[in-house]
Amino acid sequence: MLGHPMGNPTRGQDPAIQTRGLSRSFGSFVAVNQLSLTVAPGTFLGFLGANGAGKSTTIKMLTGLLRPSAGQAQVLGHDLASDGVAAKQQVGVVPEELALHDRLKGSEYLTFVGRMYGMQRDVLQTRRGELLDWMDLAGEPERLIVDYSHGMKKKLALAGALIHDPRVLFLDEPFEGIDVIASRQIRGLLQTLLGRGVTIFLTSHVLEVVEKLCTHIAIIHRGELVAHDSLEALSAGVLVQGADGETRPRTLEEIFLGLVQAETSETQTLSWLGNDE
Amino acid sequence: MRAAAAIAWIQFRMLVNSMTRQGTGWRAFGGILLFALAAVLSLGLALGLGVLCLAARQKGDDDLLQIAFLAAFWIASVFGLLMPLLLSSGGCGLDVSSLRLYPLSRAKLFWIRLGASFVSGDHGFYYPGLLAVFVLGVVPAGRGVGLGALFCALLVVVIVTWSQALANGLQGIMRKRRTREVMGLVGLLCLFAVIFAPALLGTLYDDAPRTEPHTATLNLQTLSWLTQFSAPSLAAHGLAAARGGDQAQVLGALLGMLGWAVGGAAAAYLVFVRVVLGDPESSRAGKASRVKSSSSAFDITRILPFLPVEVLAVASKELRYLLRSLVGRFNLIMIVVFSALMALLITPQIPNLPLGIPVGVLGLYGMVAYTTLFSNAFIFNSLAWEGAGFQVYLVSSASPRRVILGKNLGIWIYVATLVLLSLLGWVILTGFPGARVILNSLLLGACVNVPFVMVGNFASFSFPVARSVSSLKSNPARTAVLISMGTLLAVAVPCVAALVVPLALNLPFLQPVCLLVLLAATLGLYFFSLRFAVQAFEGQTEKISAALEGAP
Repeated sequence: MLGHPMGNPTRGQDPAIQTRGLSRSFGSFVAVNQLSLTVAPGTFLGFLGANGAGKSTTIKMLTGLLRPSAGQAQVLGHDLASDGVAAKQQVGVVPEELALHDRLKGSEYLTFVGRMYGMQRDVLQTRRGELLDWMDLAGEPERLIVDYSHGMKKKLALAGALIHDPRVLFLDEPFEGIDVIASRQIRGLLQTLLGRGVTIFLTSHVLEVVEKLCTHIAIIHRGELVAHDSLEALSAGVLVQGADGETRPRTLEEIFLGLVQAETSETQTLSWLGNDE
Repeated sequence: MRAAAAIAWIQFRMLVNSMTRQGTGWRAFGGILLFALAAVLSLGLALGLGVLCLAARQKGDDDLLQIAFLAAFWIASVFGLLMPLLLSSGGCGLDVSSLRLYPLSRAKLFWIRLGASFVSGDHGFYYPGLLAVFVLGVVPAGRGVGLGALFCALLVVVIVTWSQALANGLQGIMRKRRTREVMGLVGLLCLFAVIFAPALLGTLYDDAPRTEPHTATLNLQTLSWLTQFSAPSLAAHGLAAARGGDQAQVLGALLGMLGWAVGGAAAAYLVFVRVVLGDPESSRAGKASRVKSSSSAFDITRILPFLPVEVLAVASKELRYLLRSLVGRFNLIMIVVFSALMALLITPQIPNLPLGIPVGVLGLYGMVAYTTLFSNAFIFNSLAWEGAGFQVYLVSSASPRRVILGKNLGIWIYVATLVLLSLLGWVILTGFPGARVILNSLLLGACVNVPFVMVGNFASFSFPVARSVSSLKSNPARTAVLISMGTLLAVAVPCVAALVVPLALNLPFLQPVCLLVLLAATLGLYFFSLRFAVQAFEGQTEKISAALEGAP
C-alpha cells in the first residue's frame, strides 16, 4: 500500500470515519476486503476506484445501507453496528441512487427528510427555504421531483443531505450526469462546507474535480485499499516528462492508472471501423 | 415482421424469466399455488358451461343452450373488460411506449400491443369457457359451425379491443393530477350505478315489488332493450340464428359484431396513441404546472402533534403517495360505486336471517369490512412505491419502529377515509341506520384493518415487489396474496362472533362492547408484534433495497 493511514486525529477528538478490517462479500465474491481507514475531521477525502472496485459498497457500509460481512466502522466515534442512530444523526448522505421520493414536491421532500432527523419545525422551515433558494426552486414549489432535471435531482438530494447540518457528508458520484452550472454550484457549496470543518467523503470518476477539491485521496482496487494519503504526498517523489518536454509531478489520473494497473490500449480499434492507414 | 418476432421473443423471455425467477421456498410455492388457483377457476368455469351445454343438448332445450351461450359470453366480456383494469395496466407485461426508440410506426406498435393482449393471462382466463360452449354447444349441431367460430372470434376481438381502450383511457384520466377529470368520472360512475342498479336488481328480485324511490329510475325492460345490442347478446343471438338458418338475423348480428370490433379497434387505437404513446416529457411538464398546492392538506403534524415527528413525517409521505397514485385514486372512485351498488342491492325484500339479524345492517357491515380490503395491495406490499427513496429510512436517524408506525398510520388514515366515504354513500342512499350501527361499522372496520396491517408488515418486508405509482398494477407478491387470504379467514371468525353472539343472546347493545374488546386485543397484538416487525425490517433491508431498485 502506498502512503500511510491518517491515524493522527487531534487529541480528544474522534476520527470522523474509522474502519477496521471492514469487509463485505456477496456470495463468493468479495466486494470489499479488510478495509482499514481513518479519516480526520475536516478532511475532504476523494475515494477513488474503477467500476466495481468497491467504492459504493464501502459508502453503503459506512452509511448503514449495507451490513458488513466482517469488521467495524465508526463515524465520529459512534460504532455503526451498536450506536447507529447517534452516528446517523451527524451524517448526511447522497447515495448513488439519490434516495428521492419522486412523487413528492421538492419542499415536501426536504420537510420529510428534516422530520426524519427529528428537526424542530421553525429551524426546518428556515433551512428549507434557504435550500430551495439555493436550488433555484423557490419560484416553482408545485413541481414534483419526477419532473426535475437530473441536475436538479442531484442538488435536491444534496440539500436533503445537508438540511440537518451534518458533520460528515458522504457523496457517491455527485458530479455524474450534471451540467457545468450545477457542477460549479455544488463544488462551491462543498468548499464552503469544508471551510466549516465538515468532513466530506466523496467518490467520483471525474478525477479533475477530485484533484481540485480533495485534500486527501484513497484508492480502492478490487476491494482492497491500495493508497491513502494527501494529494501532495501521493504525487510527490516521481516526476514525469510532459508534452512540452518539461518535468512535472504526476497527475491524479496518472497516479490512479499506475496504482490500479489499468490494462488499456489506446490503439485498439474495432474491426468494422476500419484502419486509417 | 422481424420486429414483431423480436418483440414476441422478448415477451416469451419475460414470461419464462418471471416463472423461473420466482425464487425458492414459499415464494415459489405461492406462485405455483396462485397459478393453480387461477387455472382451477378458469377450467371450473369451462366445465360448468360445458355441463350446461351437454344438459341442454340432451334435453333438446334450445332455451337452456341459449342461456349457456349468454352466460359464457357475458362472463367473458365482464372478466375481459375488468381484469386488465384491476390487475395490470393494459394487458401485457411489455412496456410498449419504451419501444418508441426503435424504427416502428405507431400503427405497428399498436398492433403489437394488441396482439400481446390476446395471449395475456387477463384474456386467456375466459378462453376455456368460450371453447367449451363452442365445442359442446355449437359443433355437435353440425350446422353453423363456421359462423359460430366467427362469432366467438369476433367476440374475443371486441372484448380485447374495448378492454384496451377502457384500461388505457381510464389510466389517462387517472394520471392527470388535476382532480376535475377524476371527479367527473366519479360523477359518471355514480350516475351509472344509480340508473342501472335498480334494473339489475330487478333481474335478481323480479317477483318482489320494489317500492323505494330509486327503483323507479329505470326498469328492467329498458335495460333488456339496451342489452340486446351488446356484443355478448349479439353473438349469442347470432349463434341461435345460425343454428336456425335465419340468414337475415345472422347478417344483422354479424354486422353488429363487426361494428363493435371496428369501433373497439378505433377507440383502442386513439386512446393508445394519445395515452400510451403520448409524449411523456411534454405532458409531464404540462401537468406539473397545473399541480395545486396540497401540502397543508397532508400535513398531519398539526392534527396529531403528540406523535413523534418521524412517525408523522412518514405518515404524511404515505398519504401523499396514496392520494397521488393511480390505484389510490381509483379506489376512491370505486368505493363510491361499490357503496352505491351495495346499498341498492341490499333490499328490504330479503327476509331477515335467523337471530333476527337485519340483512340491511349485515350488508352495511359486509361493505365496511370489504372496504378495508380495498387497500390490501398497499398493506401487503407497503414498500412498493419507495424506490430509491427507501434508503432515506436507512440513512436517517429515525428508528425502524417509527418508520413502520408512520407507514401504518398513513394507511389507517387512508382506509378510514374510504370507510367514511362508503358509509356516507350508504347513508345517502338508504337513510341513517342508527348510531349504534354506525359505531359498530367503524369498530368493525378497525377490527379488520389492524390485524391486516400487522400481518401486512411482515408480508411487505419478506416479499417486497416494486410497483409504479402511475400504474394500476399494484398487486403484491403471490405469496403475500395468499397470506392476505389466510388473514382474512382468521380475522373473519372473531369479527362475526363479536357481531352475532350478542344478538344470539338477545343483547344487541353488547355488540360495540364486544367489538371494542376485540379491537383492544388486536391493538395489543399489533404493538406486541411491532418488535418482531422491526426485526423483520432490519433483517431484510438489503433484500428490500434490491427488490425496490428497479422501481420505475
